[in-house]
Amino acid sequence: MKTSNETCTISFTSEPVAGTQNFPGDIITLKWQIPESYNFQLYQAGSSEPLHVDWQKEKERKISLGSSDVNFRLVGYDDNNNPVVEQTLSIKVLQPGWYDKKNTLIKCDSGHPDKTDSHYDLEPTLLVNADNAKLYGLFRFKFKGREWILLFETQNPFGDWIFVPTLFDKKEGYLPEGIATSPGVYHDDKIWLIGGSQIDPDQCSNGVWCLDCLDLTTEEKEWKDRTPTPTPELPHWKSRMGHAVLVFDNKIWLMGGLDEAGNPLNDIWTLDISKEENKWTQLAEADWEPRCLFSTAVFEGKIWIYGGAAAPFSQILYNDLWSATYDSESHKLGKWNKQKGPMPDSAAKAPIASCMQEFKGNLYLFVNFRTLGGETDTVDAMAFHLDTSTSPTWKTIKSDDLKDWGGTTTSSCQLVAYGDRMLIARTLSYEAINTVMKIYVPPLK
Amino acid sequence: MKTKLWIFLLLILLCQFMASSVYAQGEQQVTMTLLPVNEKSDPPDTNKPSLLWIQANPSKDVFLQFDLSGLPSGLEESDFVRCTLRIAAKDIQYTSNNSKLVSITGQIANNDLTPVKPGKGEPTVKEIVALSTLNANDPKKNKAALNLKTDSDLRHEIFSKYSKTGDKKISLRLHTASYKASSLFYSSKEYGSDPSNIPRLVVEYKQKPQDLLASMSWRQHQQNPEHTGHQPWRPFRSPAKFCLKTIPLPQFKGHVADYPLIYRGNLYVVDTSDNENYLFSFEFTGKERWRCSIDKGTIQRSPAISSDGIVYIVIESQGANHIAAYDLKQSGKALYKYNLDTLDKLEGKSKLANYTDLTIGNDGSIFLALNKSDLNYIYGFTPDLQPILMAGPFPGDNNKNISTITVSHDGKKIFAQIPAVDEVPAGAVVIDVANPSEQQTIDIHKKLVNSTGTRMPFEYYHVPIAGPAGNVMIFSDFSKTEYKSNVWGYSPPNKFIWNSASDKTLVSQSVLASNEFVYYIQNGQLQRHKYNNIGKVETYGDALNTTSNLVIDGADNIYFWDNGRLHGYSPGGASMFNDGIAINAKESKCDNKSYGEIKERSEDDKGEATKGLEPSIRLMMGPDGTIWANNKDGHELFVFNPLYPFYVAYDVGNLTLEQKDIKSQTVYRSTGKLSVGNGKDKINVEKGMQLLFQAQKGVGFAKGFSVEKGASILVRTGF
Repeated sequence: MKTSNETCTISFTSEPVAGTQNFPGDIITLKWQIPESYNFQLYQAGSSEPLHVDWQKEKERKISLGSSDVNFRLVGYDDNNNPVVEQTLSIKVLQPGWYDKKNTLIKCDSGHPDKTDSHYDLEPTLLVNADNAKLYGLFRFKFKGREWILLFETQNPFGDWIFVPTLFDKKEGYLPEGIATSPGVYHDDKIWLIGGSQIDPDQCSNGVWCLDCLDLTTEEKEWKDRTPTPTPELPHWKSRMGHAVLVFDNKIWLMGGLDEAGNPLNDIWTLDISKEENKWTQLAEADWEPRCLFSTAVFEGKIWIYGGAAAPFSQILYNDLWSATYDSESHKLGKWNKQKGPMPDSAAKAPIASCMQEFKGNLYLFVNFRTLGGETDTVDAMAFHLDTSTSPTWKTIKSDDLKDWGGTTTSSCQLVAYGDRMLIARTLSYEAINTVMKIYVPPLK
Repeated sequence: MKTKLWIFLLLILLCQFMASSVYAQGEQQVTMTLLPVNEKSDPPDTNKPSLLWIQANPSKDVFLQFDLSGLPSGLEESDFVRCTLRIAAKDIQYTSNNSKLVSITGQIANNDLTPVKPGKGEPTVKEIVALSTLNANDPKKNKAALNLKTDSDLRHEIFSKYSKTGDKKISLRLHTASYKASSLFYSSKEYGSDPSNIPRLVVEYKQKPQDLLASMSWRQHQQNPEHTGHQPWRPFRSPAKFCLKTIPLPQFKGHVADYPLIYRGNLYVVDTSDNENYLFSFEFTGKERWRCSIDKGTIQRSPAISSDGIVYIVIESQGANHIAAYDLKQSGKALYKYNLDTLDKLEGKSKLANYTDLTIGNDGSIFLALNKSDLNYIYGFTPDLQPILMAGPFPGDNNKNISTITVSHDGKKIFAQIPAVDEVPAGAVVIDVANPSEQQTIDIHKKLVNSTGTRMPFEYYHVPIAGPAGNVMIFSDFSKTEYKSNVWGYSPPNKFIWNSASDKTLVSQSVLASNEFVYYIQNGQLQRHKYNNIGKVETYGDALNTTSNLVIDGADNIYFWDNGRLHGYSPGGASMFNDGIAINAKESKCDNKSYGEIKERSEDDKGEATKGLEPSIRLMMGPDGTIWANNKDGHELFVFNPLYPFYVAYDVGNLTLEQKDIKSQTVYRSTGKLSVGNGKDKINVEKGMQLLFQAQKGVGFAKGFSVEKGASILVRTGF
């Protein structure tokens, strides 16, 4: 028998380790190593009753987390039922809402441009979801007066982003010229960068660049130019900026944008990479007004588009929402139907930037609304979601944490879903740099 | 004999006729700046009516109209390489409430400067050009808006208007939809102090090869806008000696102002006497064609002739400098005049910067360096003398010089060597012709091996040379106080390629041969270096010096004058003459006893003492291989006539050609008779070829000689 004046050592840990930002609903594992000489009890904070544990057989216990932080207390008692040893584990649970995240290069980081102590906050220009296994991100920063663009990856957007040293023109760490703010997708284990800038009207392109991500440790980590050579029989889409790209029906889609002469577009092209030929196919022009800087998503088997502008910085802004079905057999889009947007009748608010993403069976829409009519502009970031199975109306998401994010000049933004755990958002502006990504953690249903 | 003469005359007529429509040489890219012939704001700003106003809401548009008739005829759509529309911002934000960002697009407008209405079934008029975004907060984007991206639609419209018969004007409507945008732009009436601010349409096009006569020119300092010093006509035979002839100019009241120029095979010389000036035209033999009186005053260094046959001369009169333009095609008719003192930036009197000459681009634009109040500026003018460009100021006091301006091979850039500017120790300035506010300064230096030191340029500059590719620039400089010099090869923006340095001697004006070597005299040797390679300097000869510029013929033979001696070197660096000297003017007398040793000072020279060439002269090379010069204060022209080795034994000076000898842009020159063919074998001149037949005693074309349509030949006799 043991008494309280004898020493006792125990181990009480969790996996993931304590301090990790766990998501609501995550399952964690509590682990312990305890001497047999004491009687142990495991308590969950808020309950005076211990959890039922078979101390002879169990060395760990799986716990399903709720929507808030939780503490666990492991207590050992002597024969007199006096507590002689106690250890507490604090398990963090992310609260629903928006979180800030930055990717910063510090000395000794791979990808750091020099040997100095300087650190560089990186601005995300594109995020792509690699089949929910990891996220890739293009980030840019200024060094010695020149813009540098680097590729990073992460499995946990709350954690570290890791530099991916790809090759361009045989030079490691380099990416193709002029793609710093191009839009892109992840498809067929590859990152595709398509066309000109998301924001800069002076950066038009009809280029297509591709990086095979299957094994980035091999020599295959070179960016490849997949721009087709246009012929009268096989035309290629015009050089442009502010266009939309997405993956749908195992194809890469490109829509709209602004051409090099300043004309807005509403053409639609697809690339079926399952076919050997590097051929973009044009579909019928859309019914919506030609535009650039608009957002797209795939939701409930349809392509959706929202917002946009006649040109970057234009006073002509669109607040309309459209959707169309697609028949893969005939390779034709159905009629574009105008849908009800989140603020369809607001004459005083116009969206200067927006992005959409399907997430957990809902269509999420993030919008920067400019309030019209005043001498001074005000821009408010708002977020909505639409669940057509329960209600065909848009519901507002609490957006207090988005206030002032990206300033008043954002003209492009992006929402990326990472599994069903989170949405990651980033913005781009022609005038300002925004190095902060926002991660949205949804509430538990 | 009579039959032969008739054939000969017939061929001359035939070939002269064909020459005007035939091209043989490679295409040259030309960059032409067009200023608006008409412009307006709609509606105008009543407060600032001479500025151009673009606003989103309520809409205010700008209309610009350009006349394309100055472009050469016969261009095809594929000849248009690039068209750039540029407007310069006066105030991006009309008021502080206006946007800092403005995007402007342009559409075709009616020629009465009204908007075009949308076509049937079209909701809007198509934009054909988008200008770069103006950003009041960004010093790199707050000066001018121009179409940096594609020009395809604009180019297509320009070609469409150009190819129309009659009116060749293009009118454009510029407008914006940028939120809260309202901006003021400079106009051709109000451009502040900088003509670079004038709206412009810059057209880059591939020029058809020059016709035969046009290619027979030496129109400016060192021949062309790139200042290569290279005469494109190849001699069929390299000369074995030269014969120095004097062409007296009894009609001259004064002396020849700088050296003669050649345009379409004829010579042009300015005679200046006290305050009076005359423009003379001579045949290649020295016979006067015409003369005319031109503006009074002091001729400021070398005149220059445009490819369109306009001679530009800077004249100082009563303390004021002006450029005057005379049309050589109209016997020197006065065309335009521009008083340099009226350039806004330069308060008071201005003059050409020291040691600089005019440079004329292939499009006819004129570039010069001006000095005022100890500051140097670069200015550009259209062929009709409207200012289009300004750069500077650059230091211009004491020993701070600026070089003559050089134009890049494609005409897109101009550059000059300059002394230290701000943080740049000493180097050059490179100006984009389409976007003159885009200027790069080059820090010319070389890091010394095993030393922390650097080699820097000296304070006196020769005329820079533009390489044929890669925008390579060749600079050369020398010290005023020491025998030290440099030649440098650079490519923009700051890529040092090579350097040839001497701490023992000065350096000559460099020349660039068709074999891609730069040649110059340095360290007492003829040196050569690939213009665009790191490589090494190759040296030839010994104890060489030069007291003239170098010139180079179409076979890349190099000629220079050294204080009374004319030297010639083959492109491989071998002396062309037995004693290393083509002619020793100090000792020369007519001597016909042995061919190849003729040394003649004038046709009438009977051995009397005649005043020869001065020690320091400037040379100019004619298409037939003759080299021209004049004395600074002389009443005569000097011509070095090439002489050739025995071609056929005992047939002194005569030359008979075979088919294998016929090559394009070649001069067949004989001091005796020239026979084209032997009467047995055929000789055919193929389409596109340009040939010059020139003989002292006559040219004969034998049976079997033929010329294809599209070829051109010129026959000249007696010299």
